Order: sequence, then structure tokens, then C-alpha cells
Amino acid sequence: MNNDKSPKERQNAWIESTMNSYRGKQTMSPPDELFKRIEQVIDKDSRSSKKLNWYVPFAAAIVLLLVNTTAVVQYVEITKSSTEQTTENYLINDYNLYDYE
Amino acid sequence: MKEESNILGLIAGGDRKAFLTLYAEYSTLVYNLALSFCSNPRIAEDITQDVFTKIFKNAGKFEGRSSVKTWIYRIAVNTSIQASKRPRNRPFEIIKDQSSMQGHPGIELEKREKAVQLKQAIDQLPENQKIAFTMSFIEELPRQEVADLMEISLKATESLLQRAKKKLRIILREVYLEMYDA
Repeated sequence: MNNDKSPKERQNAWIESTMNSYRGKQTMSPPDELFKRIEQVIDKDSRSSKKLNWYVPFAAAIVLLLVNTTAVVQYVEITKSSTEQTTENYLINDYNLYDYE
Repeated sequence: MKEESNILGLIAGGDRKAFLTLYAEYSTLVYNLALSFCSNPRIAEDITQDVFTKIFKNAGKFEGRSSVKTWIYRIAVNTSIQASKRPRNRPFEIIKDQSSMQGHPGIELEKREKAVQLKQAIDQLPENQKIAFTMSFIEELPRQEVADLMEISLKATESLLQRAKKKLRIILREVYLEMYDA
């Protein structure tokens, strides 16, 4: 560092040369084998997406089956409980009738 | 430009020869841009790989609203920013390794230490200032190209750059005082 400069000037000179430290940088080339690596990634992705495509209808069918089964079970349970409730109401009503008698 | 759009059309159809042509044209640009953002050759390779994988997958989505170069630059900037935010798992765990401390490999050895300090200061900038400064002062892109890339006006780009430079000078002043006044 130049000693003829004041501390403030030295500081500013250091800041400016740091700000410009990237100036004139060399252009770098990526390694030669990189394209091959990229192709391998693309091939792998395309294979797994094909596998997924094959798998999707089966997964969808299983999900639909599960949803339908749950819906049917729920429907049966609701119908059953509502029938039981109706019967119970009738019994109560019958009982009430007897009671009034 | 029309020819390049056609290449993207071919790539969308799975044409590997067209993909190689595009790679030959833009891989150095993408790799150097990634290096400017991360200063680590191994991470820059991973970013370049991600960028070209995205280009291959999304070639069909190119609408021609910008030039192919700007479109590729945009993918490269976004991928570099995402990579710098990634936690220390997978390939990016090497962020803290020796090579990143040695700085950008394209910089003369005597400037390397300062370049590392500048890079650490740039990393403290808000994201849009970081992109504008890196593209303009490190990648040395024309201001209009930076504005197109960031999809902002030329005036907004100039303002971002002014703020970035001002903040960098403040950060570097503190670094200088720590180094020489301690």
C-alpha cells in the first residue's frame, strides 16, 4: 500500500480495488463430461416419469376403490342408524300411547 | 432468434442433436454465470446441470416473448439463487469447502482475496440488488439486458445498482477497518 496516501485515501483505494476485483476475469469452460451427465439425468427422469405414468392408473383405481368403499360403509352405517332411530321413535311413541292410556 | 426458437421446438420434441447445439452455444455462459453467483466450480457444474435439465424439460413452454438468451439467463439466475439458498445437504454441502474459500477460478491470484471479500459482501445484499450487481458488474452485461432479464425498467435497474454499490462500499469499509484498524 502506498504510504504517501492519507488513511482515508488508502481506505477508499482498497474499497475501489475490491469493488473491481472481478474485472477482467477469465471466462471458464465447463468440464467436457458435463453434457453426458446432463443426458444421464434427463434419461433417468424420463424413465422414472414413464414408470410413474404406468403406475398412475393403478394408484388412481386403488384410491377410487378406497373412497367408494368408505362411502358405501358410511352410507350403510347412516342408513342403519337412521332405521334404528326410527324404530326407537316408534317404540317411544307406542310407549307414550300406552302411557297415556 | 427465430432459428433459436426452432431449436427449442426441436428440443421439446426430444431432439438430442438440437439440445447439444444449444448446449454448445450457451453452456459456457451458464457456467460462468453460476460461477459469478457461487465462486465454486463444483457448485457451478451442478447449477449448469440443473439449468440444462430445466431447459430440456421446459423447451416447449418458451413463448418467444424474450430472446432465447434472456430466457436461458433467467433460468440460470433463478437456479443460482435457489442453489445459494439450499441447505447444506446434497451437492451444495460443499459450499463451505476449500475451493469456495479460494474464490472464482477465473480471477488472477493476486485479486482473489479481494474477490472473496467482495463476494461475501454481495451475499449480504437484498436479492434484487445482488442480481443486478452480479449481472452488471461481474458478468458485465449491458444495463438494458439486465433490465430485460429482471423484467424491470432501465431506470429501476440503474437505481438498484446505485443502492447496491452504496451498500457494498459501507460493508467493505467495515471489512477494511476490521482488517487494518484493529
